[in-house]
Amino acid sequence: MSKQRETDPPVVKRSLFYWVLQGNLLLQLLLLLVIVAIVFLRVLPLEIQKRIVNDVLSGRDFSLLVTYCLIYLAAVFISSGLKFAINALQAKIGQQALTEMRRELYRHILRLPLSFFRKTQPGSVVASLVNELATSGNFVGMAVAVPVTNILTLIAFAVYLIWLHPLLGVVTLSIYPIVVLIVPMAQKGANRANKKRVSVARAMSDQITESISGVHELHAHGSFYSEEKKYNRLIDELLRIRIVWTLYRYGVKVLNNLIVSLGPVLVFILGGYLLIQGELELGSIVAFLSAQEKLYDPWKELIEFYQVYQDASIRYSKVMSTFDEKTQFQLDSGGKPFCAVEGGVEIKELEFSTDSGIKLLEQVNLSLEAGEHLALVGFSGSGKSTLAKCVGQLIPYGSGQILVDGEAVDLLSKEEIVRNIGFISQSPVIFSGTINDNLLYAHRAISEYSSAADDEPSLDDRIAVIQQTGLYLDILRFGLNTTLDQDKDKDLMEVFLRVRKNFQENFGDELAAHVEFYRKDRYLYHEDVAENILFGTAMEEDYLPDRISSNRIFVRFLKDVGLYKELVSVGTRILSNTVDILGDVPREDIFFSATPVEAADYDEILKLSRALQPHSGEGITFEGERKLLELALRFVPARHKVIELKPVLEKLILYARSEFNSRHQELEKEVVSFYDDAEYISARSILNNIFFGSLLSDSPKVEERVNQCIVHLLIEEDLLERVAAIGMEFDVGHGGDKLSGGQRQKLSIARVLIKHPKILIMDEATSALDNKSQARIQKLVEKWRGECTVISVIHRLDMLPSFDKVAVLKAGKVVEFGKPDELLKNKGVLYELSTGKSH
Amino acid sequence: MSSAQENHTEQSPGLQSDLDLLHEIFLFRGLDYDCMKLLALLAKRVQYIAGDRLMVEGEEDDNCYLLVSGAIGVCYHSNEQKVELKDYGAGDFFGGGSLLSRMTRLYTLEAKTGAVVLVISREQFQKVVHQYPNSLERVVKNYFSELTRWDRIHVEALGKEKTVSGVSLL
Repeated sequence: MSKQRETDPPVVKRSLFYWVLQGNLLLQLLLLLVIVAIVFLRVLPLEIQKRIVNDVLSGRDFSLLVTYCLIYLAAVFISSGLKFAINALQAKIGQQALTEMRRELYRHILRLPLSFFRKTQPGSVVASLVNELATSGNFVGMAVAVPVTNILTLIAFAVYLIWLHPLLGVVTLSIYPIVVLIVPMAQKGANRANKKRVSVARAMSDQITESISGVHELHAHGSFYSEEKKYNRLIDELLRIRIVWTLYRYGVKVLNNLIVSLGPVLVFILGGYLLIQGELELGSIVAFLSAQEKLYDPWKELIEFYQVYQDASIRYSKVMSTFDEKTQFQLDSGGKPFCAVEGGVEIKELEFSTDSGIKLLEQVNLSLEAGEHLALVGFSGSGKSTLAKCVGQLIPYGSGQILVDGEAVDLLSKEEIVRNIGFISQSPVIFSGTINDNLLYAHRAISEYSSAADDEPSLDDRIAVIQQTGLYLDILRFGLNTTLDQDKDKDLMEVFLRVRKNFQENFGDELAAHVEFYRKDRYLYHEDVAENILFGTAMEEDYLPDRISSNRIFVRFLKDVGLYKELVSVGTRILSNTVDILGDVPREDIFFSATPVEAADYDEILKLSRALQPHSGEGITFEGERKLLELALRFVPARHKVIELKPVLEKLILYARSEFNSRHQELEKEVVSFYDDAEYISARSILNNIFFGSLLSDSPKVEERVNQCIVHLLIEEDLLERVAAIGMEFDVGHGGDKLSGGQRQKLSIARVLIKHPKILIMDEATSALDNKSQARIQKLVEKWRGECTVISVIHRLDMLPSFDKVAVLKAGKVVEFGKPDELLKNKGVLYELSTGKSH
Repeated sequence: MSSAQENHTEQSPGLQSDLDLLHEIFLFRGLDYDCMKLLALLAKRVQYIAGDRLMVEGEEDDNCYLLVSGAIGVCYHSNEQKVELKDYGAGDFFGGGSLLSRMTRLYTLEAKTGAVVLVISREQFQKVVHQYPNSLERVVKNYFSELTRWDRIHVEALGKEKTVSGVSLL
């Protein structure tokens, strides 16, 4: 059924060794050269050592000693440098191979059929790609360098030793074959444990994925203990396996150490005997012992390499076998893609069964003329959604045929499918990025296929789709709530300043009762005292609301303008009235809505209140006074009923505002960005800037009216599209979590509509929407009768009249098919469904 | 520095006027002065404009409303026909029952002009009365005596018509 291009073996069929040479041939050759050089340089010091002992020490030739030492030094330095080069090459080869493995495997995984993901948890995929493959990468890096270096070194040493003294050489080396025999036996145990470890680790990541993605169920059922138990069982198991595995691994090392350490004993016994017999020089014994020691490192590295190889091959084969499944569809059309001109759909004798053999669709026969709209209805589990997915090539059907303009769907490439068919699912996923990224998601996906990329839809096209799906107002709101970039959007800021002016001219009077505009000479009753003095947005931390009362410069300023004492007295009134009315209420926020005192601070406030009693004898401390100042600075007249703002104080604060402003205008450092009729406040949103004030009431009508006014002005200024364009840059968050469910659904519809598919499949695409939005989308789709073929799984039968045909499914079979009104007249199953028995 | 003691009687005028308004409400009759003060402090003044709906027939909300100024119309729907009942003015009080329990609204309240309304939520009310012993009992008593008064009016009206036997609102 599927057409897989077989140039390379699929990634899951490749052996671990495939990656050793793949794309790394030149690097590996270079590595070999370096290795040969380093092996030579490793043996050289041994010979030098021997000559120093034999020739120099006996001949007492100092200049020769210096020469040998220099050669020795040079060999050591160069071999260290080369060792570094080997490591670097090894790392490069290994990391390249790992990257390639990850790339290819991910590619493969993404293309696996949907049925595969029903039985595979995302956690497994993550663990495989992120953790398990890493060892394979390491191995590939080592695969040439380590064995070649060390084997060559061993051979070089062996040859040298045998050349020095054949008998002693052979005896010394004879221990290594014993190691080769014994180590693999111990390694087998380690491998068994490792295999189990991979399985349990995977089960663990599956378990975590399941619990975390279903964490709302845990909270709903309080099943914390039982979920913990499942997890704990796995980590306990993992602990046991890891201990066994580690013991085996160290066992191998210890065994190796032990056997190899026996070497010097042999040299002492046999070498000593030969020396006594006069058959061996002292220098040779030194060289032998030295070589013996030097043999140990390469040998240890070889054993370690052997362990890495075992580990990597187990992990690698486990990973690859997990994903060893065939991809079902060819991606690229590999030529001129088929384009449906008409969009007629014919379904003949269609059958579909699950892997376990349950038939979900049977003998389905349907035919749709181009441009006809078909509704699929039926009880849940009747197969309507499965049928829609078969047409959309989301699942491969067993037998029968689905033809689009005469072309079989299962033989079309993915490219051809997505060019012609738009599929909107019931619970769509929105991806991280902006609204715009998501809107163009499907369109860009098509462009990725062909080299001749399609032009991106223009802003007008995008706005049109957003309007059609009912997202326009949301996008405008996102746009209006955006904070502009002071450097990039200078021009735009100018424009919005003009809008602000017009807003105040046109609507200022009308909205005066509901809006508190930022005016230099007016007190802002909906802002706190601090904001009233600053009359701007703090640009420095010390001027932020929670810091300002301990800002010494600001406090000095308050004293200068004669406001400090007044404010402390306001704080005292707030404190005494709050304590008087609230008494000993629980420290819950609900009691503290009408006072600047915060629930969490209340104990401290009570203490302060006691200290303030005339006969307490305590008096007020510096901190206490600052606390009172803080209360006063946080006081918002419109919200905090606990005291009233006296007109005299209001005037004094307004005076302080103008003083603060004039004193700070001269300063170079901008501590506050002042509200100025003629200036854009870069720290605030576009909306705030147009509006230049705050709403006085929670009335939805007022909010709506203000929005209307702003939209009206934006239209007048021809800015609506620009604001929409800004709104489209709104970041939807991870998985679109900054959008509401309805917005996500609408966006998912919009991203399909914008690619103008010839055939549109909607799998209960509007079920998450409210009635009004549902009707809107339905009306929109209805307009395309005759232009675009639609297959829609619906659950609300009142939508039926807008469809040309309806297919009623029951237990995987089409039991009725025809025009909706005729079927209803016949009083068959559809009639039954629509009258009472419907779900 | 003035002390809390000295300030005991100094109430802000806004708070004082809200307190006076609440004192007029049948539901709060006989409540402790301190309890009333706390209620008045938490009660929120909300501005509405003509056309705003305070509560909607058939929907649940958790607030009671005391009209401070402006006019509010009451209406309900009978056979999908909107029936306008009556306009109310300053001092009128709505939705007291929902302070005691969840209630589905039997009618819609719509601002006829700009209006200022004092709003108390059930959560606020419940939290406050729990601070003062016997307050809740007092409020429930008030509620029932108001119901009895309505019942009496109803019975008398029935007595005059002498047609059907009465059904208690209780």
